[in-house]
Amino acid sequence: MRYPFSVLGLSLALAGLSPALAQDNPEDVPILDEPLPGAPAPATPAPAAPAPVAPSAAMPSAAASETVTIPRAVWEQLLRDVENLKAGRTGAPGAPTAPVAPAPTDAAVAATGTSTAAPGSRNYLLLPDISFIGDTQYLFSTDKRDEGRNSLDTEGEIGIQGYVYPNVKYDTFIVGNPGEGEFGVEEAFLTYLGARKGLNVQIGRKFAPFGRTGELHPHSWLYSRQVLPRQNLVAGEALVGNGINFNYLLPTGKKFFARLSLGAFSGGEEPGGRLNTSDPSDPFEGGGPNRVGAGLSRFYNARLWMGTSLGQKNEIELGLSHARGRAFIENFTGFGEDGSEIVDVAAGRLNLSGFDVSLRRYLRNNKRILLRGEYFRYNPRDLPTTKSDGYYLLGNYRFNRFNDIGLLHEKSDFVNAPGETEKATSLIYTRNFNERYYVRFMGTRGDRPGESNYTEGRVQFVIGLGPHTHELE
Amino acid sequence: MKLSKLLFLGALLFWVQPARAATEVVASTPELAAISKAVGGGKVSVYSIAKPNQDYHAIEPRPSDVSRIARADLVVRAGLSLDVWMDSLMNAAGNGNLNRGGRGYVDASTGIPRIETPSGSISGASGDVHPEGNPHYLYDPIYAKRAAQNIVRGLIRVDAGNASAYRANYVAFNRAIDNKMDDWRRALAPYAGRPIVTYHLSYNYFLRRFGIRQYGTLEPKPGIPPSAAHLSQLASNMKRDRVRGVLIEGIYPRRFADLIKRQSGANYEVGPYSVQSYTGQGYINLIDNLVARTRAALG
Repeated sequence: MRYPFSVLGLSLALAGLSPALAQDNPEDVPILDEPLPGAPAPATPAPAAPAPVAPSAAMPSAAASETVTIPRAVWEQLLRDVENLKAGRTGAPGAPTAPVAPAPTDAAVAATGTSTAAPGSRNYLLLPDISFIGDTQYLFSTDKRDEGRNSLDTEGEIGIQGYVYPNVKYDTFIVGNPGEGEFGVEEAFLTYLGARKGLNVQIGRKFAPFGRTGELHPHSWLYSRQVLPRQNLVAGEALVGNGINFNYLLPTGKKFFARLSLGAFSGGEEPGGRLNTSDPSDPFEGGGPNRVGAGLSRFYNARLWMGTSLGQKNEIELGLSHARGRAFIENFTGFGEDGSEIVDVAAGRLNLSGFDVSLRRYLRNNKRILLRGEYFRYNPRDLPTTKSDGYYLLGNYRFNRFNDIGLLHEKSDFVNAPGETEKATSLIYTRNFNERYYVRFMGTRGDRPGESNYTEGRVQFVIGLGPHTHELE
Repeated sequence: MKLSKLLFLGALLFWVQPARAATEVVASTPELAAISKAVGGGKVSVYSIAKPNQDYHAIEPRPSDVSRIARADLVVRAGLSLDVWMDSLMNAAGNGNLNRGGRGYVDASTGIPRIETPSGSISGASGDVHPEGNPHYLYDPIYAKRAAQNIVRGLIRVDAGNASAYRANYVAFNRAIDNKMDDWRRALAPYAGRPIVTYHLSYNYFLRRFGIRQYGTLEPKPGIPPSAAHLSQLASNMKRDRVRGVLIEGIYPRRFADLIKRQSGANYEVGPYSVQSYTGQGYINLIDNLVARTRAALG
């Protein structure tokens, strides 16, 4: 009774090591490996060996005389741990570390190069995940007005991602296009994971969650270029801005997914696209497709994304999206007397709406069928553009882990050319060599103002180096 | 009278508390769901993100999985980069307790002695190599016990009230494995040292446990589909070394095994990839089946 804490401390320490003392906590009993055939005969633990408990002057005599039985392997590991700790305390740089011998019955495991590193650890410290995605594609087109035809386009994306604090993650994606001399931060945002149960908060520059594919980067698309209604009505790639976004998982039970995203973004007051009101019947301005997009500069965004599984094999998703805010658009009205362009900037309000539905069916051996449709509606106010809408329908069949084919049908109005529409149907084949490397072929036949029955072909190579992740991709 | 009725009703409400809901466990793979159920028994309900006979390396995150994780008490993952897709789901779920290091987070690979850990640098040229080593440790029943140990620790962390039940289930699961180990060892003892070919390195922990030699794989490198040149070389080596055993994991295409069969004359068997029920017995049946298919392949 004179040294109750010492006795208690020792008992607790031994309880974690000794099966005899840890009968009430079997999960703390080390599971010893069983002999592997062909391995050297394991050293037989001496079950009856008395526990070599170091006598302590502070230990009462009754406790000191108590016999504790532990397996030899555990005892030897304990001794090695003590030696390692001693070596660590001396702190002599370069001091030889006692090699951690494998557990006796793990000899064969060790012989084949088993690592004893901590699970999940990597061989570096405090480095974020750094990755690079290269996306190269060649476009063939029968539309001779298309300035991008018969040329190679390359885009690179550098991802730097990591945790900066428990439950706080930082993602940066820097994108460069050497052909167009563009280089910039596409996304850079902090995510507070689990700010409260079911709530994530994202702050920084990021893609607004508008539409089912609104947050996907191009390398995650199931096609080689952005779908036409998104290009015409939303943005060339995505609605993006600096701001804050809240993702809240609604308390709808464990079988039904419902996430409400609410965000406020500012994309600066740069015009989002350029109109040609001098000749509204030609949305191409004589050059490549002039898809104006929304041009939203300051906007609020809301998306309700719902999903549930229908049995083990099917998943259905529905989404409603809405963005509203101030839009800026360049308006080319003609040429001045000196031949210079007359361009003014039009500003106004804009409402964008979207509805999407997806159905996925998983079959055996990694086969998967995906059916997806998205509809977008563009509704301007005080802008020199017209109310427009568009949709696409996508079917994708992954017939094994490495191959998938897709069929894409798109139809969209031009916001800058009242009454003009374009539609296209594409056949897509993707060969996924692994998670980081795929090749895609996309053949398109379509109609657009001034060019009916045009044909396009795209060959796309996407490569990835390093760990690169996006939420739910 | 009125007051006494109210008191009675209040007491009744206090007494008739709703039964505590079962601890929700979300596992990344069906095997982990089965072991979690074995350890958790009736006190837990389990859900597996990957479904049986899906390739665990390539799971598409589904929104409905997010809501499962958001409402879970415990997440059990295989680790060793097998289920990296879990990170995406867990981040979207916004349940701080389940993030890495949280009390509801279990990496079942903790303490597993790993094999095939790359010693040099790895790149895409190495195939889909896992930096932390071969992640298919659950085909080794002894390592399943270790996974169970990690799971029971997690369960006790999140539901200490049922610790004694979890411990009892855990001991029973260990005992069941120990009892079956003798049968499995006896069944495979005649084939100790014999070489076998598989499609992927999925069964290597299992084969090593029972002393069977992994001779080669139909994949030239992990995750890379078989090439004609590789298969031809493999078949010629098999003929030279008189290798007769080929065991193909059930999720992979058979046509390459057919090709090897034609070229080398070795028959092949199709081995199980997943448990068929999320119970301790489901796990034992998986190993039973694997033992039987291995015997058939080598017999």
